[in-house]
Amino acid sequence: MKHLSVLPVMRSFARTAVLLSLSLMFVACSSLIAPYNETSYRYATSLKPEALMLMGRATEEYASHAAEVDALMLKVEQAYEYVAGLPNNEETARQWEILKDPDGHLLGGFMSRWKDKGKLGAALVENAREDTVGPAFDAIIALETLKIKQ
Amino acid sequence: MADFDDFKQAVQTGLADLIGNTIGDYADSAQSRANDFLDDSRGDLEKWLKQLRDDELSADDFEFLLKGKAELAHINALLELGAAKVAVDKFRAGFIQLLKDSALGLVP
Repeated sequence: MKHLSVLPVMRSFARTAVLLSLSLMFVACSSLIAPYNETSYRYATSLKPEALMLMGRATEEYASHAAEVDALMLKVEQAYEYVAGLPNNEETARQWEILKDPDGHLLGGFMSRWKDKGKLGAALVENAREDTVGPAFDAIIALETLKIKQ
Repeated sequence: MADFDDFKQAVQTGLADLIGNTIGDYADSAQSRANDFLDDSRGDLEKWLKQLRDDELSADDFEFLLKGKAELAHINALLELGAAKVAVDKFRAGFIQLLKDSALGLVP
């Protein structure tokens, strides 16, 4: 009755095979969030200094920097369109959306305010650069850095 | 003899380390980032209030900054949501590897 003694081993391997199959199905499921993306990272890290430098000029007349503001905001819009087009990238896309909103109070809102008022006070400019817009870029960069590199 | 109990034991042994290295690490980092944000916000608010009192900042500008800080909090919350998803993805990948290693360890 040699074949009967082999049965428990066969059952054990059958269970293991089932578990492995399940695990492979599990792997096949898509990730919850997009992997690290070099282009997204470069957009954020290059636009941060560019935006903060231009914000620093907001104590001067908007009219003399209008073209630079338009050029910067176009790049920000391109960054948003790029990240929003990546699958499972909702959190990053929403971060950019808040940052660029012209009716908000971060980069987009700052540029709208500058345009409306002509020029801004030094304290507002420095506080917005250091305490709100700069850290907003940092949070976008931090999320990209945390993502899994493939 | 290799059997299911051995497999289960191997998975359970590796699971604690896996949780610590994925979900646990995330929880520690999230707590640290939240504390940093609160500390920074308090410092910024005190600085802005002083500037408001000293007429370096108008009430309108003060309100603009406050609203900006609230939007920054939203952006940070999205960072934490994304970080939590990354932790779950890492846990899932690690768990699959653990299952494979534990099962293959039973093959003579």
